[in-house]
Amino acid sequence: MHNLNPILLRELRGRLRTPRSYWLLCGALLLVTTISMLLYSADYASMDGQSSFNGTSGHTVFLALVFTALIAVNVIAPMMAAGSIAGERERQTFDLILLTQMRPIDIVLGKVAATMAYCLLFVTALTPLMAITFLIGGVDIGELAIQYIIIMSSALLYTCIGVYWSTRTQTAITATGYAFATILSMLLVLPILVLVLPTLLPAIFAENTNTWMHIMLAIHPYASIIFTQESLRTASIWSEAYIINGSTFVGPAMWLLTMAVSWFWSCTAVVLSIRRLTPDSGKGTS
Amino acid sequence: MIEFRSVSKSYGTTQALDSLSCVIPVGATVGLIGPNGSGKTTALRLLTTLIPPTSGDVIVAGHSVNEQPAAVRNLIGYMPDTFGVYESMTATEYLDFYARCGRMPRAARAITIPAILGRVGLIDAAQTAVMSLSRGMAQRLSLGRALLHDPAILVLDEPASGLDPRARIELRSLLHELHQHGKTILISSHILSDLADLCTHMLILEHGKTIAYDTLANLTNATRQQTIQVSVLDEVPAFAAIVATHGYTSQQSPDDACTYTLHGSNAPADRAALLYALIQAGITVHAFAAAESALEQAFLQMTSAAQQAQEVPHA
Repeated sequence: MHNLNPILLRELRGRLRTPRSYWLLCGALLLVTTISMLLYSADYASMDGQSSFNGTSGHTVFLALVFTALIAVNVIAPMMAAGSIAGERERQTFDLILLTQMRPIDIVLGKVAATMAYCLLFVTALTPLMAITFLIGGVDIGELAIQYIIIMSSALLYTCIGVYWSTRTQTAITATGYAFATILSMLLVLPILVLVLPTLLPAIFAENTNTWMHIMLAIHPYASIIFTQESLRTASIWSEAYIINGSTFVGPAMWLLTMAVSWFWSCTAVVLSIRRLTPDSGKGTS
Repeated sequence: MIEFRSVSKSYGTTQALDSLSCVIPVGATVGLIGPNGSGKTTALRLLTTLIPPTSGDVIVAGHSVNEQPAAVRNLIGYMPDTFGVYESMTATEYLDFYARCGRMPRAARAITIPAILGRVGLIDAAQTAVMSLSRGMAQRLSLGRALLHDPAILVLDEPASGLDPRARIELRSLLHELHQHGKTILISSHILSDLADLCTHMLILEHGKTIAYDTLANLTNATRQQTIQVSVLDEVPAFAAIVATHGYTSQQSPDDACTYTLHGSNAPADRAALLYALIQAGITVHAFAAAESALEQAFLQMTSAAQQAQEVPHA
């Protein structure tokens, strides 16, 4: 604890001591549990009295859990991150931090780590539910690990987007608005582009739809989960085949692409946030 | 030593500070006074490196705020006009957080934090949540935070604002103690009586311009010698005309129509002649003395003179 970033320590203490965080965590877990229970019951009912301990049920509940967890993390991460620095400005505590020996990189990484720690807490709290699907069958440990990686990569990206907007705005509500607008644009615009581009630019996209789709949707965690599920059944866990101009190439699996793209844009958002807070820029400190 | 070298700061077309130049000696307690929007907070924030100057520089113990902001920050303890609260933190945790941010080693924190809490009189509130502290206690905690790294310079923006009389007296005595320990203190406030009690120097600002910068003694002596407070029993319409014939200007108190502040010659013979003329005119004078609150008079006189000078070009 001695060498822990003080910003991270304060954020964790501050968040976990408030009833809001406790109820947020409880509410999200209750939601995920309810959805998985309903799905499991529906699946059991549809089997008309047969044993429900089969791979299909386990897999359905597992996917439902993954998607619900992803939605919850996609809401929690930007919401918490967007308020982190803008909220300090609103509370008028940010100037006092700038006057200490904390460097902009310490401040930004402390804020990112605090939000990620909360997301990790949430995802970890889901582990018993995930374990049930693993015990039912139809899901292997590698699949479980990959979906956790996609969820946490997506949480990291959305946290960094939230922190970036937090450095640019004076109020938490504005930062939250911009963060959600950015994320929603990514989630909605990319699938539309994937559908529209082969029609608009058939020479480039029509023949290589599968490849372009994978590359463009690598940043889209929902698409990534679906594609990963498909490819896990047919291809290797680490690689998959891409078709470019009629030739087949072996490239990284979709989840690896998702991880790489998320980390790249997360790092970019962190660098931009640090630049905003650097006094020489004359923007972050005023 | 702190030296403001022709420092200006503008926000768009608004000139918040206009060519401020002054030298503040080590160990001085400087009061910044001026109406709202006069540039006091801007001057203090420039000194703390929180905002960069548009032009000019501030040199703090040989370090430039433009070139070596980190070195300047190490020398300064800043107490802003508002106390930013972190929910659910105790007073000890609040200080511990800022001490960690200042990279103070664990052993040093264990000694420094209780010492600071004791110094600002909050040792009994060490485990009290910050958000439940009274305004006075919160201000003292904020001052404690500013003292954590034992800075040579303290910058206090409206430290007494919103405090009750007891808390104001306690804060004042704490600042007296810090001054005696050799700290250089810059303090902005609207409570002139507090500043008159604390400060060795005064910087008067208005519309971003420097109206005066001098030792408190020089500023108040100059004004005190030229200012007379006169109280009469009944309001007299001819009062202003009578004093004007003796070369004095008069200003009626906004609170009391029977009290006037006169500016003019400080020669005893002139004052005696004026008093005699007032009595001869049948005016019942029941008080006639040099102005008591010299700093308030100095401030009023200097700011109104500056205002008149500013209005002349428009006339």
